[in-house]
Amino acid sequence: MAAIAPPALAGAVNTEVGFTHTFAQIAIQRRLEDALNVEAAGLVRLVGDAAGSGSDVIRVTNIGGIGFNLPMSALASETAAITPSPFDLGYSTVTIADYGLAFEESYKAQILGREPAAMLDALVSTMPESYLRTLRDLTATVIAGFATSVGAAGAKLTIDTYLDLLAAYRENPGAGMPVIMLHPKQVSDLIESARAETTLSLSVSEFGSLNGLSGAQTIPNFLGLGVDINMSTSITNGGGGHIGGAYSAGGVGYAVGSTAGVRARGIDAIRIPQFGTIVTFPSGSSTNGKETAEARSFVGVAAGSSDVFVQRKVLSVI
Amino acid sequence: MPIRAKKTGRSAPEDALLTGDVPETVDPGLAALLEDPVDMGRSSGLPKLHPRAPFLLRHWPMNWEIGEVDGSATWLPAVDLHFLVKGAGGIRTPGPHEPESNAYADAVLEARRRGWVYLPLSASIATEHLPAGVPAGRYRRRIRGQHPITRVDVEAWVTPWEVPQPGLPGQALAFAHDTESHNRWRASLVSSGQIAPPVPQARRQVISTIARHLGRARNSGVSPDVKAVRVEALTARLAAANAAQVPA
Repeated sequence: MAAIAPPALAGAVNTEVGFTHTFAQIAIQRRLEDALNVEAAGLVRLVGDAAGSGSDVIRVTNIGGIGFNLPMSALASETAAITPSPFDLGYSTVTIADYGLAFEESYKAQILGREPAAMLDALVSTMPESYLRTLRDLTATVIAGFATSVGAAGAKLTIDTYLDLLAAYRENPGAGMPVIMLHPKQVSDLIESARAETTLSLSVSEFGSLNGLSGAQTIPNFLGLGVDINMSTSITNGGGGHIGGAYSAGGVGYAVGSTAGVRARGIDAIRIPQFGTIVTFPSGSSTNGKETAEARSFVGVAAGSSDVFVQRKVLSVI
Repeated sequence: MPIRAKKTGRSAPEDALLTGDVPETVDPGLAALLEDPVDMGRSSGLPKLHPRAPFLLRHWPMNWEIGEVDGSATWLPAVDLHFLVKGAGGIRTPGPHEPESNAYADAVLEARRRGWVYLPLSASIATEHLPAGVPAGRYRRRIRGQHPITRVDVEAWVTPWEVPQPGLPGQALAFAHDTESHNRWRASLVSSGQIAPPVPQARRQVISTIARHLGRARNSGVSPDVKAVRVEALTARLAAANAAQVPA
């Protein structure tokens, strides 16, 4: 109980019947996050489903020494015998692994909780994004394993290196168009390197298209050279340098173990078979006054054969 | 030949997977063991840290660089990290009772069949090949910390040439790469015979790339000042590449 002397000052009244703070009516804000979706960006393609196969390894077969790689032999005479040709079969493999993520919330928190965005159901709805983040990290890790590279870990990425990269695709007929994932710092280095190119600084619109921001993590038709560049901080580093990469579309593939057939008990299990993911709410832990949500994913990413796809690491200093 | 066959030479048993014989096909369950490195973590006051996966170091025989060692241009092997991340590049989740090395044995052996040369994990690197203040030890070190956002315990695996840098409290630990000692160590890999010297084709590839950049710089339409600097730098780089020595 407090006597409020006139005039009733805000500080005195609020102490008794007010709040120290209130929450803004806008939705809870998400913190900064790198949201590049490698599947949507075409950086990784589904190659298979291990469900029901009896193995966690999927082989992708390739064949060589036929078609355009095999000219016909000139015959010595019109009755000459033709020697049957050999051909070459090879394969690349994708191995799936187990990934998991869980959130937990007490019943009391569910009863008293005020902000839906911070409660279990909302957190569960973010699990597919965590899967996509994992897929992106795996893709970046696979890129770091490419044998051949352009650039150097000790030097900034320059237009020269970018032109080397494009030359690799031009000089390997059949390579198709590359897809590219670089660290954002690598992209900044590239843009700064291009700053001195006369052809790219002749007009305001050219300057703007080169140096401007779009807010997206994909820069379409970078420098007008016909190739999109994707940026992500998932790009790994080593030896003092970022390890970005480029590869023919399809040069990195992923496999899942579809969860459609998982016999998880309870009606609440959420299956995302195309992600190889299942979300369950184990009942055992609920007896302790809490609810747990567990997501399990069965996924793997691997590089396709370098006999099929042109693959290059793109190195530059951190 | 099974990879656990008796081996000759100096390789430690845990390096059999990395430097021992490569069987034609993989014997299931015959992966060599790689022991954990020295624990460099602290029980309290852990730094904020972005996690980094464990790795093995390896060399692709065609990948070489020109670097400076003791003031001289030197051919240095590119040493890459093979990240041991489950689900990436053939690394799987091991069974509950399998050794961790079973997870990546297939991936390592497949890479070695293609020509990658792995460096033995057990080898101790002398202090003269390390940054000042870094103790002798293996090429893979572990640092424990807390994730900058979620604050869960994490670990980052780094090479000894990635030196932690002081920063503000609460900031994620940053690392600086010590190029000088890293170059000395890479040169020692060649002089000690762990990595074979570069074949002529590998050297030509490096030199032709620099020459191509020089040609582009000469033909470019950039302002004369910028052009002169570029041409001068690339000319010096090309001269260094042509004069570079293979570590002996």
